[in-house]
Amino acid sequence: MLVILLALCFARGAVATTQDSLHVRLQSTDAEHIVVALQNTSDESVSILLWGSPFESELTQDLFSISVVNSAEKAVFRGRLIKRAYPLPEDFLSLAPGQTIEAIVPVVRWYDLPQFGDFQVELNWSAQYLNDSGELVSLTLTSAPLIATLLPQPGIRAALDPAFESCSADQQATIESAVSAAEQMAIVARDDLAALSEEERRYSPRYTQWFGAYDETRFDLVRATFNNLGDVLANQTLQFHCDCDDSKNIAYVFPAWPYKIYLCPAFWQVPLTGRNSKAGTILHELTHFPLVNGTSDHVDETATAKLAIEKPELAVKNADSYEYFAVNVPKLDIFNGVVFSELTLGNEVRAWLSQGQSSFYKVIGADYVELFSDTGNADILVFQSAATEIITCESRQVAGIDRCEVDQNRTVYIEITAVGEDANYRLVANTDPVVTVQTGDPGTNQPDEPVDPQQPVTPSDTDPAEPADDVKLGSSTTGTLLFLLLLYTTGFNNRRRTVR
Amino acid sequence: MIKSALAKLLAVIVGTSAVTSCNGEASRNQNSGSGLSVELLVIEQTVGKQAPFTFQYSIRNGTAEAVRLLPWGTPLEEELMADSFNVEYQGELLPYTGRMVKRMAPLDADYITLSADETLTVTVDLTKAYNTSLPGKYTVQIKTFDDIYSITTQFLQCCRNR
Repeated sequence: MLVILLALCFARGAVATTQDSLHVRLQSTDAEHIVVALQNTSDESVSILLWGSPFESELTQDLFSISVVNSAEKAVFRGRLIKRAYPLPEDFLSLAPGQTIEAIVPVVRWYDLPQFGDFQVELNWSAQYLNDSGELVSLTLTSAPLIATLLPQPGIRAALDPAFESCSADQQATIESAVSAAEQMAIVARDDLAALSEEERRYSPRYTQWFGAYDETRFDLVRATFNNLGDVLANQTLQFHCDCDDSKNIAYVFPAWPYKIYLCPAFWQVPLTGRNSKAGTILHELTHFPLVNGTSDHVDETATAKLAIEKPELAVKNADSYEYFAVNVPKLDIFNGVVFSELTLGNEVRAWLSQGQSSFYKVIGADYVELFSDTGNADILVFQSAATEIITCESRQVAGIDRCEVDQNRTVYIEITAVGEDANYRLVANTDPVVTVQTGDPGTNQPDEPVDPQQPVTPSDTDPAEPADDVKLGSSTTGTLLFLLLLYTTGFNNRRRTVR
Repeated sequence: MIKSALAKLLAVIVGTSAVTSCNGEASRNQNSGSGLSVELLVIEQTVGKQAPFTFQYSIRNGTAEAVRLLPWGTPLEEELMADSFNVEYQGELLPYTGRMVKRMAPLDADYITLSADETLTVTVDLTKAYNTSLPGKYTVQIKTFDDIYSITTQFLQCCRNR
């Protein structure tokens, strides 16, 4: 059904487009947004893929180059880069001849701006449109540079002015920028965590680095902690004391006295951002307060990542783990970058892939996946988990059908790649056909009784790799039936399909 | 940069191959079980109304080799710098009222060495770290997050007079 719709769309929207027929320009609007105007200057309509474009609500490609005016310092893209499977008609944007459409892009949400100020902004968008033959073609759309005044992440400056005790004017200014940076980091951390779907959480490189294996309770605590940090920084008066004189110390708090932070001589020596920085220290110290989390200091810096692996239950109660997650140096992605489209059993998916690109799918309950390359050469990789690290099956037929037997009892993760040239492929995941098992009464078929229809049994010869687990079904006796039932209840199905 | 933590009682066996790695892993392997042990002892069964609420804290190196320790965050420091104890009063855990410190990386001079079979004993004043001013019975337990050392005395009870 989807395939037909897509084909219709291809037929309707297909026109010739050249580099000259699409133009982009940028306009400044306020300190948080950039307006992208896209004009179709040709006399035919054009269908443009929304994915990764400025016209999607979420920016999923690093489309903008944003640099500090007169400086090489560039803002870092912190959205997620998504690889997607195949577009549907609604994933295209149609532009009539002469039509201009505008997108108002909240660039400060998607880029880490170093500070409030003037930036040179350019758009460098590798757009995709449909050509005459209904194929996706890439076209690079580049805008003229725009100078815009931008304010880092809305809400950053909501922090109340801190209170000071025994702090010099210089120290007060330093603290203010550290608090501002700390709030920015806390908000980014909070939003990044909120953006993770449940499926994505266990594969988030940044989350797992500092907080270890995903567990709902622990994840909720981490999220709550960053929510609390954001609230405290925005709504509470922090009280800084600059009279600590122990030169070894960076800072300390009495967790029982929110929100007093004592800054020691070493605090003035550490950098503004990064690990064990001024901003990081403020976040670290704030997590000690019971109303934020009530963390302890369980390990030293070198052991923080190890703590996440070995004792995640302590990592979520460890101040440095929060600090290092928030400062994110060295930079780790919050998303692991792969989005898997769900396959429906028995429903063939038809798609097109450009050379070297991949599409990702997941399916549960299938016995096999089969891939037909109608043009070009697409190959299958099956992974044990969404982390796409451990390959459990690989099929790379140059001509003919690629096929992988998969574990019916688990979600399997599939990557389809186009090798050497673009490929048009069809992909299907399904269960093996159910084998009729006869009872002792000849002529009476009881096809589904021995096993759940979702857990069909295959004849042994389709699974030559595992002769030890093969069961001959030919004898058609009640004894066989009972034997099958017994095997089924003792996990027969799990053992029969091992991954290869 | 190392912060104080009881759990982080870094023990490095001097004169063995573990010295080079100088990390918690090495010390844990060397000391789990019988290597290092700590003990809490009551000094006075009951203390007066205004008196400091003190215990004896002993750490013993039960190995045949010297052990180097970072005392940060342990009761070996002059002042408690971490929430090192579970102090219970009338069935409730008392909040930690002491400091939590973030420090620069330790220098050699910040470590102490315990010789083979040596026991180091210090007096810990709980008054500054937990509100133990009310009369009655307190239960004190050393917090453990790691198996760096074994704990001889798990619970300790002591009382403050009216």
